[in-house]
Amino acid sequence: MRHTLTGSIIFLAMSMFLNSCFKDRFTEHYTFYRPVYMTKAEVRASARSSAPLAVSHPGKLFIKGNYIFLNEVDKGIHIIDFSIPSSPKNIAFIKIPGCVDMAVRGNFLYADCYTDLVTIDISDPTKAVVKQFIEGVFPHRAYASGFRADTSLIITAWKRVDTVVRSTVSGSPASWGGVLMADTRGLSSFSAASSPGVTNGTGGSMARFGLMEDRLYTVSWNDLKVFNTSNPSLPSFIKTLQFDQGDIETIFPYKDRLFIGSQSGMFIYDASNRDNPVKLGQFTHARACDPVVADDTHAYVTLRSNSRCTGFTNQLDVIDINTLSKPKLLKTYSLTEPAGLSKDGNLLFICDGKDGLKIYDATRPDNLIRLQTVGGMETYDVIAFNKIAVTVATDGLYIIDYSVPAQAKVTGKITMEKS
Amino acid sequence: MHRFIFLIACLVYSQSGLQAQEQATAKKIQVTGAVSLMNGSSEVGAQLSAQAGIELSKGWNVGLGSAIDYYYFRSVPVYVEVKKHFGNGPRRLFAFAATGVNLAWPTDEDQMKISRWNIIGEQNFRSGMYADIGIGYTLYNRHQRGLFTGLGYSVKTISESHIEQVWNGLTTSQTERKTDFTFSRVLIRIGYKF
Repeated sequence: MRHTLTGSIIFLAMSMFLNSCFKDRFTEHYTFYRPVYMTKAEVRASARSSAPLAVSHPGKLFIKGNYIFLNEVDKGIHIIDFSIPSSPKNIAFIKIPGCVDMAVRGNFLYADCYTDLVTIDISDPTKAVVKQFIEGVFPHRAYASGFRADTSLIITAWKRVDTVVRSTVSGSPASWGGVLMADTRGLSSFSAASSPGVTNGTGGSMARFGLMEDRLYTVSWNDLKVFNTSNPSLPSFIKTLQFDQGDIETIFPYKDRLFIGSQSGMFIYDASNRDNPVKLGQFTHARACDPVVADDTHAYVTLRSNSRCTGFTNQLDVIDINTLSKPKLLKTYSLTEPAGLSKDGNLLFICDGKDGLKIYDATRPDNLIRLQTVGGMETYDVIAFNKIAVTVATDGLYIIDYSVPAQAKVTGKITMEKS
Repeated sequence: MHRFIFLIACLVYSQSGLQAQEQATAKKIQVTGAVSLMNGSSEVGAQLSAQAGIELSKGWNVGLGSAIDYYYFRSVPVYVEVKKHFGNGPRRLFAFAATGVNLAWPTDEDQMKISRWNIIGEQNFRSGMYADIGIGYTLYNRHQRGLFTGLGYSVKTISESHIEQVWNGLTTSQTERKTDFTFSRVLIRIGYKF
């Protein structure tokens, strides 16, 4: 009996002691990026002009007068003087943490500061002054592909962290790890002249900001917000329109219409009542990223498929919009990896990825004729006006002279600095 | 002709001599097969093993073994094993210890155990090490053949790595994630010595 009891006690003790020896363990080595936060007060205090910085991660583009406003993704806006197109000069930088979109009306720049809309006086672009913050305009920026930011703070940088985690195996190891976020590069939308004395700048096809006279329209993942900018220094929020679906990506105002691009189609809104845009029609397409530009009779939509955009389509759709309530496909043109586009009169400019910038005679939309391809760069977006095409590429900003479209060529460049 | 016959006779004689030596040697080579139940914190798995060894003096055996180990990730341990039998006769206690490499041989289901949506390309499994130790009891017949059982502790290690996409604040970047696994199990073994 005593031996049995002793043996049982020994067995129990060994079991408890050895229990830890029977744990399956793993050691995981991986990398993630951790956001570095600042308070909103600190960010607002730092939003001002600084000495010019090298272009590192170019994003959206806007032009006003002799200035190009080039977004440095999530960091701010480069101000580039291109009064001499062959010699563009990077003259200043406005720090705006979380900035990926912008528009310029008169002497005022509107930009997103992560979830907020900021208004900046750029009467002197080298001495910009913050005039106003409107909070919570872009709530989708607080949550992106699994990452939710602390909305009381603003992310100003991302820090690489190489980490080692040790734990026990239970079923399947470790975390899902890693987040993906949408590519936020592109151009701001085209805008018409507004009230006398105050003019709106010129943007491109991939923006989420659009100016129409004295109204600023911004699109988020599934809504459209309207701001009154009759007093350009103090935009005031008017209303929010909800879309029936998400994946909204771009807005392109043209005359009194808003052309809105989403990953599954293009929507046409009547904005003759500036504060109450009304949906007129819709064109559905295969799932892809699709910036859009339009003229009086046709809309031009590029469909792009890559790791972010999903889908299997790379093409240009020309859409007949003579009946706005029933837009219909006129013709499809196959392309390589088209992104942003721009139109100047009968000339259509398409950024076709590694193929470069393609220039077409669009006199007959059903029979586009390619006049020239400016290659040697992986293009992303373009603004074409007054014989100059300002093009954002992966390695910098190009100024392309298309005085003779068939002989369009690069005349100036600001090279990106690799970080 | 005579020379030819003489050569053939020499060949036959030398072959029979070699065979006699081999028979003498073959008596000492012992082959065993076993099935083990591996009990760990993650799951219960099985191991099928086979060994060929040589009996040395004073109850010592040394052999080379291989197995298919189905615990968590399928693998193929290849090891050297040493045994020490205590006592004489067909029924006796023994202690065993083995160490070697654990060759990775994952199934498709094994790869799904580390499935992540942001993996790019293939998952790479790398071999690790294998070791076990324990005690057993033989249930042989008078010809020293028959069943034996074993109870012990087994460890195997294996590594997995892959490339994944992570958000770096501006876009996605590719980084490597590497995981080193150590599986510790209680083994309960039953085998047969041929």
